[in-house]
Amino acid sequence: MQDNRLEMSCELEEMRQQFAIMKERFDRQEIVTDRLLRETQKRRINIYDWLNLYIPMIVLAATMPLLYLCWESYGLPLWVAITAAAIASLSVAVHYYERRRYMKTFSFEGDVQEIAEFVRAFRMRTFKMKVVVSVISVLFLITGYAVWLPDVQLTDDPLRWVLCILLVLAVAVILIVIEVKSIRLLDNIIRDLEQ
Amino acid sequence: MEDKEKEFARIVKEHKRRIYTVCYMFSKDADQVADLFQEILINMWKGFSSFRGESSISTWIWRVSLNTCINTSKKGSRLETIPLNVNINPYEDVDEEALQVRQLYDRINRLGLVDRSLILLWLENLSYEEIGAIMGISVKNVSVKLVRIREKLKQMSNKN
Repeated sequence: MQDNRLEMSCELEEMRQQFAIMKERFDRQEIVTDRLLRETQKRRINIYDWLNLYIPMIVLAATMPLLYLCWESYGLPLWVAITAAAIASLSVAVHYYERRRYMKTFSFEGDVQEIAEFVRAFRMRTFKMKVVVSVISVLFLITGYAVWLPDVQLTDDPLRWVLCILLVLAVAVILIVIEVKSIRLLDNIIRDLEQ
Repeated sequence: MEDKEKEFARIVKEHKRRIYTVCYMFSKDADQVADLFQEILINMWKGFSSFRGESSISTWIWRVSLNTCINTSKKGSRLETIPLNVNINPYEDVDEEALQVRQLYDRINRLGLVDRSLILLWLENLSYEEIGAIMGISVKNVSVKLVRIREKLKQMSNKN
């Protein structure tokens, strides 16, 4: 459809001519091969998206037996293990749900402006969700420990405590790295969209 | 090949030049073009069954292409690259046509992502309504943004 509402400048005139040359040049190319089409239709999800969806689940799966072992061998209270499992499960569920929505909007549902708004909202919501999950978990831990399991004996072996703390820190570092990477990516997109 | 796959192949072949143009404008070299092209096709295929025809097929293809380029340019592709069937390298060819194309690339590539998308759609001769539908902005907003882009391009030329 022809459009003549934008007053032309020399640059735009020249760009129109160059664009016509480019169109002709690209039109002469085959570009698409049967192999490319075949591979495309085989692939439902790429490796990066796969990692984004499943890494937290793998971390969770690896953490649970470790927590259990710590409880058994190092005296980590059962309640801590249950709470850690609850936090990790909730985070994974939130992460999974958000990622699916993010990928869907980015891949084929949203328009460019929608994406800009979605990315901002996504960033805020993800952050808020994590704060809420953390606060609830801490409350759950404190009240649950105080109310339901008041008689559980904590270990007095400092080495066991150090090992427990190191384990929890390791999990926290992994989750923070994933989070920071994801926020950086979103920030870059927002910055480019606002440029 | 099933009907759905045949239909998809037909659409891709019909719009290959548009998709290739978007990839070229959002890439730095021929390998990146091939990666992006493949990513776009994968996203098109993923969304193809849920495409209900609420917008025209070309509007949908523009959206998928631009969305994929904006997203993928930030994280980089992790796909095994399947070469495209092209006998040109728009980044390195030195014939007269290629130099013209590269000058266009240099101008567009200095714009931000949204401006880049807008000017591409305008150069494709799409109406303001169509551009608005693809970008998710009002016709008035399209008009304002295009005027700003025109001024930016003029400033860039003056600096050179």
